[in-house]
Amino acid sequence: MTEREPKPWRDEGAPPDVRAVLDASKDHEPGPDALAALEARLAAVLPAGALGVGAAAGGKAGAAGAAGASAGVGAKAMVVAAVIATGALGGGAWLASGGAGEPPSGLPRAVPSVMSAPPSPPPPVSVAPEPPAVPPPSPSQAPAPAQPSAPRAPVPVASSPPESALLADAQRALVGGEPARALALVDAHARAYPGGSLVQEREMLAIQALVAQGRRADAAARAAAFRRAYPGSTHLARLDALVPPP
Amino acid sequence: MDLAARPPSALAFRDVYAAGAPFVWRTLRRLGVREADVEDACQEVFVVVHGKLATFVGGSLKAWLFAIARRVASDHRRRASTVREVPDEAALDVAMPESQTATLDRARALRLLERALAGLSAEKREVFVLFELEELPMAEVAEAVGCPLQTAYSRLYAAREHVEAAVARQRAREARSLGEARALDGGGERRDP
Repeated sequence: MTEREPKPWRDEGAPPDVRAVLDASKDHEPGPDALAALEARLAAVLPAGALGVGAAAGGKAGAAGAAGASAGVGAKAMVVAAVIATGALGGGAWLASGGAGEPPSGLPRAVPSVMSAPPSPPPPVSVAPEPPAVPPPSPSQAPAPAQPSAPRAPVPVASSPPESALLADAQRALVGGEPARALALVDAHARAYPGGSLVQEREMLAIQALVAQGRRADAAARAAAFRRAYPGSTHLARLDALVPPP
Repeated sequence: MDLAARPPSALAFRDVYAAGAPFVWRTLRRLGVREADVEDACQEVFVVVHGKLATFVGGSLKAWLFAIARRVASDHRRRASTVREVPDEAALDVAMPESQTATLDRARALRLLERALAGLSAEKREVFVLFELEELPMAEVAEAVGCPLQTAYSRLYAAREHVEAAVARQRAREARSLGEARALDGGGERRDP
C-alpha cells in the first residue's frame, strides 16, 4: 500500500514562518552572471565544442562579434568582465575567466577532482554528434568566428578566490542597481568569512549599498563603526566622500 | 528543456548543461555547499556529467544529475567541515542597524532555511530538498535518492518535523535577542563588535 502523494508543504499545512523560510529557497537560484561564469569555466576544461558553438567566447571577453549559439551567455560574461573592470574591487578581473592576468596566488581551487565518480576514461564520448537543439542563428552562412581553434588549453582553470568572488558579486549587484542584493551578499560574506582578508572592502560595499538605498542614517552608523575600527584605512577618503564625517 | 522527456539518445552535453545547470546549482546549495564554493562544485558536477553522459540509460535525468550532485556536495561538506564555522546566529545581527532588518529579512529567512537543512541527516535532507523545494513527485524523489517510496515518505515527514521545530526555535531566539538589543540601546545603533 502506498500513501497518497502529499502536497508540497508550503501549499498545505506549513505554518507561515515555515512557508516564508521555504520561499527563501528561491534565492538559491543562480543569477545569469553566475551561470555565465560557470559556463566560461567549463568551456576552459571541457573539450572544444562540448558546450556548443560560441561558448568559449565567454572567456575571451574582448572578442568583438561573438554571436554563437550560447552567445547570450557569452555576452553576459563579457558584461561581467566590463562591470568588474570598472568596479572598485581590485582583483576582480580573474572572474572574467579567460586570459585576464594570472590568478592571485595561494588560492584554493578548482581543478575538478573528478574523484568519486570517474567511471569512464578521459573524454570518452564525442558529444555533439547532432546539431544543437537550439541551433545557432546562421549555421551555414558566415563561417562562425573560428572557435574550435581558439586557444583554450592554457586557460588556468585554477582560480577564483571564493572570498573575493562573493564580494565581486556584491559589487556587481551594486553597480547593477540592486543594493538590497548587494547587502545580502555582503552579509553572506560576513557569515562565510568573519575574519576574512577583505573585511574593509566588505564594509565599504555595505555602506555604498546603504547609501544607494537612501538609508543615510544606517550608512552613517556603519561608516562611524568603520572609522572607529580602521582609523588608518586607505578607504577613508572615499568613505568621507560617501558619508561625510559628523 | 524538459529534462524528463528526452530519450537518452537525444542527449547532448550542451543540452543537459543548459537545462540542468540551474537545477544542479541550487541543489548543491541546498545540500550544504557554501555559496562561495558552489561554482567550484557545479563545475565538478558537470565535468563528471560530461564524462558519464554516455552511461545515462534513461529514466529521470534530474534524478541522474542529482545522484552526481549529491556525491560532489558530500565531498565538499566533508572538506569544509575541517574548517567548519557553523554560522553563529548572534553574529548575524552585529553592526546591523535595526532599520535594515526589513531588507535583510529575506536573507535571514534563507539562512534559517540553510541552518534547518544543515541539521537534517543527509537522507532526510535529500528527500526534503527534492520534494519540498524542487517539487519533484515522490516517485522521482525515491528514484533520485535510491530508496523505496515508503522510506522516502517517512524521511519527508521526519524532515518536516525537524524543520518546523528548527524554525520555531530560531524565531524564538531572534525575538529574544531583538528584545534585548532594544532594551540595551533604545532601538538605535546596535552593539558594536
